[in-house]
Amino acid sequence: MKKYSPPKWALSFLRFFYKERYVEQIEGDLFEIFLRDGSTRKAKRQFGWNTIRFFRLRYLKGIDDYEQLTTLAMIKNYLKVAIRTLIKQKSYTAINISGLAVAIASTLLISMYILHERSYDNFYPDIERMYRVANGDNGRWTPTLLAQTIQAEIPQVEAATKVNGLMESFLEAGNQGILQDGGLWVDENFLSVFDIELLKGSKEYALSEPDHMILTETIAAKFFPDKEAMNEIIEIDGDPFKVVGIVSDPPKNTHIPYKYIASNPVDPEQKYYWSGNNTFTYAKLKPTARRGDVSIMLADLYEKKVGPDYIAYTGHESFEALVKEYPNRNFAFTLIPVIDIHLKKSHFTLGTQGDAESILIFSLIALFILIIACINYINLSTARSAVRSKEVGIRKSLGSQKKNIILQFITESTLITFISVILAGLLAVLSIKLFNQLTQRAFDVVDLITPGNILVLIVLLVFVGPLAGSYPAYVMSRFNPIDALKGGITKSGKATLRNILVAFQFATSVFLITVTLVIYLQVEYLKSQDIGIDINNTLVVNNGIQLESKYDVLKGQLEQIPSVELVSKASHVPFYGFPDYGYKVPDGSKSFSPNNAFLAPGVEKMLNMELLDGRFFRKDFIPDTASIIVNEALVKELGWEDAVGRKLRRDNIDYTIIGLVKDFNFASLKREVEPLIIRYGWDAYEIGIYHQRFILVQFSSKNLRKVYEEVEEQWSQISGGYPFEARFLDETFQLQFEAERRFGMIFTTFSGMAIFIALLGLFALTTFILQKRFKEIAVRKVMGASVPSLIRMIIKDFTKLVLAGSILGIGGSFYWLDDWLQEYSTRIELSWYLLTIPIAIILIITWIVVSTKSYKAAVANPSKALKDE
Amino acid sequence: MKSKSYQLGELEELVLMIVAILNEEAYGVKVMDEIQSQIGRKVNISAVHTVLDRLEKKDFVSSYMGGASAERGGRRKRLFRITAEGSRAIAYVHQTRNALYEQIPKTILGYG
Repeated sequence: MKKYSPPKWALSFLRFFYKERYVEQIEGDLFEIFLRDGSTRKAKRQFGWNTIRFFRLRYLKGIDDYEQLTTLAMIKNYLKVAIRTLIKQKSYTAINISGLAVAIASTLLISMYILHERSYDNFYPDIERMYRVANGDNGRWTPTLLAQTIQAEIPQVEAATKVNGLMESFLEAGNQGILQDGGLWVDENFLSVFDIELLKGSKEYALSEPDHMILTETIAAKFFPDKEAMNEIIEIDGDPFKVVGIVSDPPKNTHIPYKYIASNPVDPEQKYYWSGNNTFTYAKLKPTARRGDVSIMLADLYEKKVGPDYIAYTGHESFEALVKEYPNRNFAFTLIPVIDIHLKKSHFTLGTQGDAESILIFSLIALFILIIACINYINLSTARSAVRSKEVGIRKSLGSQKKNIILQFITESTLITFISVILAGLLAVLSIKLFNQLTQRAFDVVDLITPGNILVLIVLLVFVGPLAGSYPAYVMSRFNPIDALKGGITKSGKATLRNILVAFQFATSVFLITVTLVIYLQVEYLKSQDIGIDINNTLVVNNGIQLESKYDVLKGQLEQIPSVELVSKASHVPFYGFPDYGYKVPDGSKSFSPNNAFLAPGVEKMLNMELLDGRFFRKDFIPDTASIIVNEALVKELGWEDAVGRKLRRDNIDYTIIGLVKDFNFASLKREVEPLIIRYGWDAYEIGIYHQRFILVQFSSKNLRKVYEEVEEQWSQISGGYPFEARFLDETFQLQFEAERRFGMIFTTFSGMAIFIALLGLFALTTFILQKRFKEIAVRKVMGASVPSLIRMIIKDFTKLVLAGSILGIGGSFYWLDDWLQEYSTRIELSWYLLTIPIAIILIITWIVVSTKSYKAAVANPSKALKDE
Repeated sequence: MKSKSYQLGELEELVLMIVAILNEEAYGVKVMDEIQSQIGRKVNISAVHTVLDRLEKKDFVSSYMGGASAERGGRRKRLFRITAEGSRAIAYVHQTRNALYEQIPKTILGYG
């Protein structure tokens, strides 16, 4: 019979995986069994099988057992020592880790935000061919006929669509009726430009009829929770629409966050003017088309189509004459890439605006915070190096190479980074809700996991950890072991570098405090401005148009309420936005477009407008329909001396100016008061259906909620079920500062973090400096120095750093703030006393931190410090 | 003196007794063979090793390296002997078993 020998692989397997201590006995026993079984093939197989049966944790080699891999053993040692050091110095570790964790968490959130902001609309497959057609360079609104005209007349255009929205309407299905926002009104070409996939229904059929609509899944589920939404009827403001398609909810990064899409084709029966701009226009070019060619054709089209209508209205003799008179205006249609809308051309968006500047600021803040945290690390480690010099000395005399010491410290910093990264992840997840409030976005926890963030983490782990550790490592590795052991090392890294770093931290803190402060002051200043009218105690009820003739009934009912003083109506209300209408001086010498509002008598009293000349509208007179009231800005614009009695012409009707009011603010405090014309009543045919018409209620009660409820009750009785929507006028006024408020909040939050991290660093640094000067302080005390003088001595050093940093920070912030303030027509002055506040804040905080720490050192018994000499 | 209680698994108890029987001659294969010949139970060699290690960790047995032999491919044996603690453990187990056994009514055992 053939003799087999034990399988070779089994022997190598044993020796590679199993602990040496066990290998011999296991092998011996296996051999014995093998021989006893007669060295057969079966025995050989059994040998192999038994080998594997021994694969148990107790026999396996640990890291210790791979003796040949010394680097591995060293890494294990580095880790072990690093963990011990970190545990030994708990407060130092806690400061470092919490600082870094906060910094990394901010970076994660900010980078998520930036990535999101930059990703808008990139999900359309043909995005590079999709354009918004702008009126001039920056006009959002375009003529109704533009879309179908360019699709028919410009061969390079594959498809063009007209779009309106997003609108809020009253949607009714079955017995359910709600005010639903997010309505997008489009013509039949919409889906040819925007490649949106239909979950149900066909693209060709979906928008083919004027009474068709498409729902998003969410809205479909909202209106038809337990049945199929397809082919159901929804009434939008009373008109029936048939659901012919379902789409998924649009991605978060869309500039059109629609909730439903309704058909709104060009009406062939109606006459449209090229001078009227009522819709948005989008176009998709053919793949072969060149943007430049299309732009030229669009400019020609403007001259051909808009030109004649425009000059008929302005009274110029030719289009050329018109262009000549306004050299700064671009009389053309232009193409804006859809991908640029969210950030670069944000006023074109149909959703919330992005802001390229805030992205830059965010990136800078993230970078600042990270740098501050790294500086903390470097400062603390080098400062601490004096304490650890003995350790380095012993290591060196026991044979450590420079390399080993550097690696030891880098291991420590990498470990700190590692723990911080984990904590930061946790922190980011926990604060995502707060972050959503700050940025007005709707991020989920999963959004944190982006390729960018993973990259950030890898970069942090691979570079920042080692980098932050490398400087202290380098400094300490150069210690002379003899000096180190004698305890004579006093220079712990270059003090100048450390000072520069600390000054930089203070500079950043002061920068952030100054910016936060100035934003706050500017907003408060704006709010405190005299706007020229009284906006208090006025409730503005929307959708007045729904009442039609029942307005008088409502007015009568409301006036019965004891706390209601006045009820009136207006086409437009200050701070809700006024439209501009074209007028000209009757002799044709000048045409212009002032803001225009229609007010019923009583509004002027309610808002307490100040009359400078003439009179207000009167009820008892023959209706003042051909009378207008103007403001000072208009008189100034036309260069008149007086106003009352003069005439202005619109659509061949002459309007007589009967009153002049003092300028009051009705749009935004950011801008100067613009020319305004006030017309009578709200029934003028010119008030298009797009305009709301408001009912204004002035009240005397302090109980706002009660007023609101009382008005709502009357509305419900009279409106026939149309939802009640109202807001106090002063509340609307405050809303215009929303952007500034958010901006300020973001700044406050992140600057708070930056300052927190910097303070942690300051605290730790003070501790270590005091440790180093422990003996010096004791000696000084023995020689007769008083406690206050000792504290002053320590504080003096820090004060110099704070002042140096502050000057830098103030300089930087003023440079930037000066630019920011240019946006506002009324703005605060950046004056010298503004300089002192941030510096004072930082100085006081520094003094508190430093003096509490140094007080402890100064009152300590000097004999304690000196006895071990 | 209150006697200490010992926790022993079933296989551990067997192996410990066999180590005691073999007295200084116990090693992996031998223990395995003995279990088979005395009780007729087949145990894998790796299981025997594991149990021996466990017993050694509990200080019931101690081990030392013995001489090399040709049938082991020149490998030495790890020989086991029972410790005083091990003896006490066996005695304890035996005693508790006996005490329990004594309490079983004779009639039941008779019919059993």
